[in-house]
Amino acid sequence: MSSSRLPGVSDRGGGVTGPGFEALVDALFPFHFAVADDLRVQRAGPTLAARFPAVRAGARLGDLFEIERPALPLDHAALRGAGKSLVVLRLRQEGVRFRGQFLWVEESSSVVFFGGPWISDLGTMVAAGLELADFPPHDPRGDLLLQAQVRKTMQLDLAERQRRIEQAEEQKAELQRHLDQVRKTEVAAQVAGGLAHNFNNLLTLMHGHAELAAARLRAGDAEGALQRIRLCQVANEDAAALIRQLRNLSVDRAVEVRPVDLHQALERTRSLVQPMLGSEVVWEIESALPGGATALCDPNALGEVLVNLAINAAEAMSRRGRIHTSLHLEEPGHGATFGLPIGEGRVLCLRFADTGPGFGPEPRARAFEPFFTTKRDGHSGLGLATVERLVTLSGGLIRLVDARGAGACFEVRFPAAQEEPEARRRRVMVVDDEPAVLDLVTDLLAGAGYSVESFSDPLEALRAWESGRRFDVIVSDVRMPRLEGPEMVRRIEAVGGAVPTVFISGFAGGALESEAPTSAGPRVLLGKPFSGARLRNSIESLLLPAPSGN
Amino acid sequence: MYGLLNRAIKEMTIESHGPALWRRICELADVVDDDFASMQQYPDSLTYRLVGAFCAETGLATEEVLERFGEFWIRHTGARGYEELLDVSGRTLPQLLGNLDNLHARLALSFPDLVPPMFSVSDETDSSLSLHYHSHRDGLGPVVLGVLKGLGDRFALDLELRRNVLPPALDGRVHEVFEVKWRARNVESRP
Repeated sequence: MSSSRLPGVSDRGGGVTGPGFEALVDALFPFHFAVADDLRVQRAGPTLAARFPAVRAGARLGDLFEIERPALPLDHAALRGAGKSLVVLRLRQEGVRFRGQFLWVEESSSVVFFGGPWISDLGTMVAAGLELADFPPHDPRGDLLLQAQVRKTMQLDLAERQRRIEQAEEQKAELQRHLDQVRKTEVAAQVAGGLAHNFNNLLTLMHGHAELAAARLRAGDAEGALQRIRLCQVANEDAAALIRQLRNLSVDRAVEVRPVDLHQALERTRSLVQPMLGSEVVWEIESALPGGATALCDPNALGEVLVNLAINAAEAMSRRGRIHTSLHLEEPGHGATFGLPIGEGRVLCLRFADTGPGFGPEPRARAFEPFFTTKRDGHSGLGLATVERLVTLSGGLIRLVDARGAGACFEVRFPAAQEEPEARRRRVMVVDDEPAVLDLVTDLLAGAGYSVESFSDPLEALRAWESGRRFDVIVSDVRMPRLEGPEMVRRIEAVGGAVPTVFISGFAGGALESEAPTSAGPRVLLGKPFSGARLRNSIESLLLPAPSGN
Repeated sequence: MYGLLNRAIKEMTIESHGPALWRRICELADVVDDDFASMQQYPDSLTYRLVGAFCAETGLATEEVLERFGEFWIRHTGARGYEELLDVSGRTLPQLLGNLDNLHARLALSFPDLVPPMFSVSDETDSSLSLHYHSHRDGLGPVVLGVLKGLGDRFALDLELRRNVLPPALDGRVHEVFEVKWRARNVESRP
């Protein structure tokens, strides 16, 4: 077949035409075929003839191939005119696709197809009964097929690697579960051991004092017996306190995570515990966040944490020294460093440092362990363990870090609350010398979304205003020993201009009525008792813009 | 060399001697990450260290190990999804050996970091030929011997092989000639 004269090749021998030229065409295009004007095959290239014997001289083009594209009618004229089109044919019997072009050879009125099988992967090549050597070395199809095979191998590699990664992750998770279980067992053993030790001591005390009380009674020494009984009661109370601490550790107490102003929480705690710390303990509060430091945490848990840390610090300093607390905001992503599930939010960091002796290497590593203590005076060793648990339950993280200089330094991190719409985040100054009322009003307003700062001392509140702090509204008690509410507000307004004020009082309205008529801002008097809703309404009524024309 | 070869060494080791030996080989060869990516380029020295460690651990001579690797390679190539590549590379042993250089040339074009050997065939008869092997890498002739043995199995042929190491070329390339004679074991070649 392949030796028949190439249509249009003249019998001049050698050169561009002649048998040499035919051999050239066969070598370059082994899958070519020529079609006469009767649409019958005149000639086929050597490899086409060898691999697909149906394509032989005399066979009808239409019987052999379907023209998939372009949309060409099966006539000679259409094929002649399709010289610039990429033609895709399908060999009907084997289903193999061919791609190429038809070229018109005028001398012989033949249309010749130059092209070859379209093979997209080695599997198709094998199925078609072809091999790489069927394509001339210059034909890039072989290279493309190898690349396709390599891509397939890479995909196999990736899939294998992914499976190994998943297996490794499963193993890691299993190991982690096992490790957690081992740790729980260890902690449980430690807690049980510590508990037994502490209770043994207390039971020994109670038993001993009870025996001695009985001895004193038998000896007729009622006073001595009473003393011993009191000591027994003290030991009993210590045991009860131990149980409460244990409960904090062991029970998943309910927490209510909500926006809490950390600065205000620090101020309030300082006010509450300062008497317990002693007069020679100075507690400084520093904030690099004049605009507010609102974190998401449980306010009650936070309060307990701060009290615990403050008392710990004071005891470590032998009730003489400085506590320094500071607040700063950390950028998005920083929290992930500490394992906080914050995602992209910012983190508020509260540093709690003292000027005590600090922690040595071993105590530092075990500081948060239940029952671990370096104190010799019967401390349970549950304080910091409780602190850690409260922080964790509240969605935060606590670390013991190297202090700058001597002393201990704790860093407590909580997610920063999202900024609330401007209209809701009114800043409220609350002033009341009665701690319970101060707490209540602060909690009510913070829970309603206000940014609240509270002062138990009206002079301190005045100093805050004088130092540049500003608030949208003041909520103040009327009767306060060091400075009455109305006078405080008058002095504040002298510094910062008119400020709306809600006065709260258990008395009749006489206090307000008696104030100097130089008050500038609007006033509301709220009598006790009052509800949170009434308090909020009072505030909002002061903050409403005045109707026009009034 | 591409990771495909290092993976094959790993699989050959595990198949013949188990994973414990492989781990020892990695320690000896100072290989920390043995998760080789097939199409990633690795230093030749890594492959040589692995082979050296295998020899040290098994007491086998280097040439024997390399020959075993060549045989394993033909089997491994099939198992790793290159079965079709072998299928389309030649229907008979002489055809495949004749196409070997083109195959490596195409690979070299597609993967510029690959520096494959060169092959050519001479003195071909109905039952014998000489396969010429040229390479810039020294000492890997036994691999070719192993590959030939593997191909003999693939085409169900009994082979007689002789390896002749010729003086290196002026550019330092290794030149070895493998005289290959074959006899059908069953029925000639694959359909």
